[in-house]
Amino acid sequence: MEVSQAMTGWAADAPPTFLSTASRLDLSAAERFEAEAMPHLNDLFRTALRLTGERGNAEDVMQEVYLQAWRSFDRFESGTNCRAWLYKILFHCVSHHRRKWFRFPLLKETEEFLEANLLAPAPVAEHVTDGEILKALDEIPAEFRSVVLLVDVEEFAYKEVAGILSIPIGTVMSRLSRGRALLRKRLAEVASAYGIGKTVPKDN
Amino acid sequence: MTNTKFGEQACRQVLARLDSYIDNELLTESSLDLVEHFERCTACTREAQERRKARTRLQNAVRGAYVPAGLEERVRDRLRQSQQPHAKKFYPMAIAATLAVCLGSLLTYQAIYRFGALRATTASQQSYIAAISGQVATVIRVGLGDHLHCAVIRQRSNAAIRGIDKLPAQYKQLIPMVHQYVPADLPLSVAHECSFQGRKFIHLTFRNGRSLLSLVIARRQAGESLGATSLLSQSGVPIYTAGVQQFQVAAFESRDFLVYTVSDLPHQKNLAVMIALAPTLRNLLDQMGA
Repeated sequence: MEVSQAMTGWAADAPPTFLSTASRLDLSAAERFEAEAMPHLNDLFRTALRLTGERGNAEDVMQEVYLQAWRSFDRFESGTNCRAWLYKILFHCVSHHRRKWFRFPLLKETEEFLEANLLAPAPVAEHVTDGEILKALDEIPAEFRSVVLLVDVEEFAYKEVAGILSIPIGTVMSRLSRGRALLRKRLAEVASAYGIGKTVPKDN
Repeated sequence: MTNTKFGEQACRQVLARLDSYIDNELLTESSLDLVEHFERCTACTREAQERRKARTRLQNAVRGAYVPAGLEERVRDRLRQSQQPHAKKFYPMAIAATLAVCLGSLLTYQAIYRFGALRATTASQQSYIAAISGQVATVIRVGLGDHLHCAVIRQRSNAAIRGIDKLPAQYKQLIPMVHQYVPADLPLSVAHECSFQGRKFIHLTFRNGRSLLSLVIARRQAGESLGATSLLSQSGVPIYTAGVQQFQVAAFESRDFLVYTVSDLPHQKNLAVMIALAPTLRNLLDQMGA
């Protein structure tokens, strides 16, 4: 369609003015929930997938997260941080389901580790595939994986992560350093297993 | 940091803070200490680059995972079957979550202002944008990020970015159309094409002494979706919203584009602009994209 025709079309429609729309803006809870919570669905699903390791489980958890969020939505204030609120509910649901994930023997978060972490691990080789990165991530213990996902992928601040996981900020920092180092160590193993420069097409 | 700025001991201290540094979680002085060290130490510089690269690879890998097409609808069906939220019931979990989130936002806000991000270096501007954007969904971040980068920071510090002549010709028709729907007390200040984080935007800025509103349009990339069937669609176009600190975002998607209004107006007012604008703008963009 020609642009000039399109312009005529709009005028004929007598579009709502700013003020007439504003006066109609009395949104129901359902409308607010849709508008604020639904855009987070893809991000939450991808995190749930990495936490549960399986698509069916991740879907089930998502159903539960949104149901619980909806039931308590009257306590959520519009225009505040919906994302962190939903992530807090996600981690609550996941840990409720699979308490055993969080019963991994706690690796010692001490200077002993910090010392080891100072030795820079090998760089992530270019030919490592996304699938291999995901596999390596899925293999590191859940408490480290959670923090790495929240900081590296979802880009939450340390303080927000502390709030979402209900752990002290110092613990966020130590788990993050250790999680990143574990991830790179695994990826270095993958890279050396294939030999330098060999490309292995494999994706998840 | 101690006086030991170089040598093996210094590298150990830098490496111990490197994660906090690349996450923009250090105070300005500490960051500057590290930057000074990097100027003389290629090993630590390389390590910082490697960690950033590892983070980017991980982001791409996780975000590249396929999200089942029907998931949104299945979640919505389940919600429809459930009861409306009941005000009298007690949800300790939800209360705890809300409190934690409020506290977190407050602390972030204070941290940013202590940081003086708006006045300072590129690095601190990036950390300012990251701290705010991190609080909204990835797909909302696209528009919010460009508003912060271009309208809030760049245009403020650079008076040369004014006027509407930098707008590609095919988008010029947006201007008279958009004018109908934006409140008359917010005059058009800038209309141009800009880029942020490797992505191009059509960006219209409306500004008066008190308020700032951006209309941001970006081409959709593979897998990017706000969700296509929001209930908030009186005007026929599903609209999604987010709020973080003083910024309010409303967004919709067309076949080829993601469209955002981002402003420091009240939530309802920002949303009202988008609701009024969306049907006509979506039609126009569909015609242009064809």
